Amino acid sequence: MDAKAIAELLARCQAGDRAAWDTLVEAYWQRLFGYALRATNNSELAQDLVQETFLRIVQRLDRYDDQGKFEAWLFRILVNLVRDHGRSKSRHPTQSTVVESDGQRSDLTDDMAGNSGTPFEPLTQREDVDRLHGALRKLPEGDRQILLLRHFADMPFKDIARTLNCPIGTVLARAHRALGKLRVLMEVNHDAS
Amino acid sequence: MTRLSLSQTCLLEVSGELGKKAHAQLQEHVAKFPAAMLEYELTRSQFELLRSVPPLPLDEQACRQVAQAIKLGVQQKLRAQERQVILARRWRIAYRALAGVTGLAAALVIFASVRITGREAERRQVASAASHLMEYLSTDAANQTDADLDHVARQIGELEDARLSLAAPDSISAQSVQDLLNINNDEPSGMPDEPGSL
Repeated sequence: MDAKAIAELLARCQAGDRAAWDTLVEAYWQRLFGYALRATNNSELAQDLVQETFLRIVQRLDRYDDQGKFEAWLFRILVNLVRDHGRSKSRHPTQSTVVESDGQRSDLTDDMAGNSGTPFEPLTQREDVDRLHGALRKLPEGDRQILLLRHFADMPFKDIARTLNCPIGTVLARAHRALGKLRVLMEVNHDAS
Repeated sequence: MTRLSLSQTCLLEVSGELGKKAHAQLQEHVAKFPAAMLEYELTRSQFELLRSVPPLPLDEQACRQVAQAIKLGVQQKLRAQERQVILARRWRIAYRALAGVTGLAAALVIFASVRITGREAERRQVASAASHLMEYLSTDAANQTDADLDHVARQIGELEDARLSLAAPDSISAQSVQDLLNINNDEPSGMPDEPGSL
């Protein structure tokens, strides 16, 4: 969605157009959810955090002055929510990956990449993906955040810099370092297995 | 413009975010220097490793469920916010109405107080003037000095003013002033030869 379309959509939302809110959610939820899911490894929590992100936008949009930085604002809210949750989780660890919908309980982790393979899928590929997730989890928080935003939220590096409020050079340097560590961790895991 | 290192530029290149001009320059540099080529290939392979994970590992149905749940939450929030706005507007109207009524009542009280105070001052003025006039009338004319006469003349003038300013001519004060003035007007004609008479 280009800047003009976003600005128009936001103006409709500010005017109280409920259908526009649905369009806004439709436009962004997948990227937000992709990031939150990988950052928390918990689909239910990821959904809650994405919903909370949109609720905060609902609360604050009337005071928002669009200067083409909506995406950065949106993702900054989510990044902060994930970070805050990470802090509280370290104090009160919990584990839940079950999402409930239409009265049926389904475990979304079954659909996650590491578990979603068909019985005929090569085992090595599934294992690789699992190892990659394991390696991602081992990265320092700041470095991991950048890789998650780049890949799972499909956010360009310059937007990541804007979201995290730091120079693009810093973001690129950290991403490069994180990718290097990721490769090393993958190799270590492979040797161990 | 930000100056970037080779590894940073390579990362932007494999990420597809490098501009056309910078892309051409990088390709030229990489073709010229084997070390740069090695760096580029390493960065590309590392980035491809990350890309091998699907961004959203949900099937279509799960996607619909999650999207629906988020939309529902947002719509509920919007409805709650609308209710809040309506409630706040009603409170504002009620508050203004109450403030208006209170202001009106206060204005009435002030108006009435001013009227009562004004009447009281007039009454006091009339009573004082009447008292002086009675004193004058009861005093023997032979003992009256010029100062006394001036004083009485002033009192009569004040009584005339008071008579004009009284809103209710049929009130007791007004009647008493009228009576006193009538007495005063009659008095000189009864004593034409008295020295110092008006």
